[in-house]
Amino acid sequence: MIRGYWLPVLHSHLPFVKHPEHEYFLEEHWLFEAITESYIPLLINMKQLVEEEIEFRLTLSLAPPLMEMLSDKQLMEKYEIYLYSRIQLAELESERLKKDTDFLPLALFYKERLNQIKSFFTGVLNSDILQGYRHFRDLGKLEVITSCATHGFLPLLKVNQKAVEAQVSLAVDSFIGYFGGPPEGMWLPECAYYEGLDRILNMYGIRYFFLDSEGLMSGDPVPRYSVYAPVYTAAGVAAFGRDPLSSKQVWSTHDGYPGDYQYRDFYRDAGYDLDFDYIKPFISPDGTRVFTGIKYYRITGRSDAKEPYNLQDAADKVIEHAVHFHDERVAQIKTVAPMIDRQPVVVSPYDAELFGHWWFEGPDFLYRVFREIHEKKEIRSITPSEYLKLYPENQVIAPSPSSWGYRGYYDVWLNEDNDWIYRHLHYMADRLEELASASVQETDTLKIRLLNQMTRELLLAQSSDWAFLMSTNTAREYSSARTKEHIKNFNRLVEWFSSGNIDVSELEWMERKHSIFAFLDFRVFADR
Amino acid sequence: MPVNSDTSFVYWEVTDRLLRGNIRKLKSGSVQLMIKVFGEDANQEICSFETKDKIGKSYISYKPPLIPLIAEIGISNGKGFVGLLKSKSAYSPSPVKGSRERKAEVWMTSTAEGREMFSIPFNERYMSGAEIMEYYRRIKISHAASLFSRT
Repeated sequence: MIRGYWLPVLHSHLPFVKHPEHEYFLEEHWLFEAITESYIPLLINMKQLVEEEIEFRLTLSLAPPLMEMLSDKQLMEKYEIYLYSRIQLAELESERLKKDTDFLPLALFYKERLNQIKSFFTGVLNSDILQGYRHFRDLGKLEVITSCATHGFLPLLKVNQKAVEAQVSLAVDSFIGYFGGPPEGMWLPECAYYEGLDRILNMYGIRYFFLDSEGLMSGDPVPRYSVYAPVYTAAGVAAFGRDPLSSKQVWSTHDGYPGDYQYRDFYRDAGYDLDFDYIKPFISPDGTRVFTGIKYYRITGRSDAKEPYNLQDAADKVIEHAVHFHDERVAQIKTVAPMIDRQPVVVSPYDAELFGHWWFEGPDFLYRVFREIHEKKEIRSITPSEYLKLYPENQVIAPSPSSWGYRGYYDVWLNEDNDWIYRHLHYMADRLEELASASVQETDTLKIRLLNQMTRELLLAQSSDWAFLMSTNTAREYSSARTKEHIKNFNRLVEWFSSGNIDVSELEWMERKHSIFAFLDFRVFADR
Repeated sequence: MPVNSDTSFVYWEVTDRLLRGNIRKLKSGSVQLMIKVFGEDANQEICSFETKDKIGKSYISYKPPLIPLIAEIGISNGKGFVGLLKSKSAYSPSPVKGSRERKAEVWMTSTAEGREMFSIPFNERYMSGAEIMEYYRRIKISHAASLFSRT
């Protein structure tokens, strides 16, 4: 008998990074690594589940910048070059290690795996990753939803309401463009909610979103069913609360599954370990060592001494963890079910890139959890739309402002390291609203292009990733440079618009480089 | 702008032109820029401080239970204050949990046909969210502690 439901959500997002001015650009590899290590392995495992007739449901949010990059011809051409280079390295490694009993099985594994990924990408997907998501969506296995236009952190953008509305409405338009219909749900960037956001979501047809548990449990009133059932906000949008137990089991650095000593170590990589002259063709052309994805060691322990990665030991551990995860969900659901008038739902959202990129064995873990659920038949996986159809009657509460960041609030995106960006973002939004409102009837093609590009520059500057990276001291230089570049571009565009003295070739370059949302109309910022 | 349950952030930029036009409204004394923070509803001053910076920022410590805050920048000569600009209001995330009173609850049915809101009395048969959490505390199922780590 089914006692309740597990609702897994994978949030897929990367900031829009495109550098046509460089043949090789390190930050573009964020996308290439995610495709190779997360997106394609997850799709391969979904295909396997379908072939084995294992019932599963997965909710996957696709942030618009990611959809734009996955559909960008130039970036996908660069990706193929990246993939071929990795295959070439794996082949060289198989040759180099042919007498090494510890590492040869791994080198051969990488060679086979990368070739499998290449044939899946070019063959099954026809070089179109989104096609894979559409396929599983059409089969009813995958509920694909959207996130905000450029993953703006909405509570800190709401100083200008148009900025929030644009983030939501362009996300919906973008989704319709890629999937042929509006999204049912939206992943709020960083799970960040503020009072009144539900009205804007409702305005654009969003039926549900996700909250951190704090957002629900500090709501008014405290929801009767805790995080084990969705609630409605006053605007009638459903909010699903993140379950802290299942989150911690996967997210926690120390107690979470990904930190198990049998699993592959992320940081020990051939790009850093091997002889410079040998690895040179596979690292940055300026000689900077980078990750290659070829990794030979397991986590082993907390010290720097690492032992060889063993594929079989890791695979055994995946099964052990999947069984444990499943049994924990069953225990959780069995405990809660008698207390409430329905079958509870456990909502487990994670970053998609955690599965495969950061946690190499993650896609196999997910596959195994679905197998366990299918075989034991005590719980079932479900999507938010299915659950809401099953239980359309829910309590109404006012969720609390919250995010899934440190302490559940906004600190990560607003602190001494990044607070300088907000005065610019707010000024740009106010200025654009002013110009857009005065130009609703504009027919001059060049002026329309200027206004559209201003909108793109603002949207790209609003990405929550930049503030996050400045805080965490990762890629701080790049994130600051990107923010400053968008601010500078915006101000130049405003100047050209006001003076009529337009540098058309520079405008063309901005349009080519920051090419997000070809369909975009600046009037999304107009006060009409 | 809200940062967390006890911190808000305010930034400002004042032009010389705006200052010049207003300084003469204060008839005497040396004039200083001043930031004041109010609770929007109560119109109650929460804090104020002087600043020499025409372009500046500050983090303000205050525990507002979801009271919308408003900051105002102005000039002061120690006796009088002339306001120049007010910020938009900001709600901070609240550390105070919502009501746990056993009162009637509002529920909603939402289907393709439409939405209907209705009120139901508190039902003793079912546990409230807070009670579910308390139950977890008592039975201590594995990992349950993490459920309460931030509550």
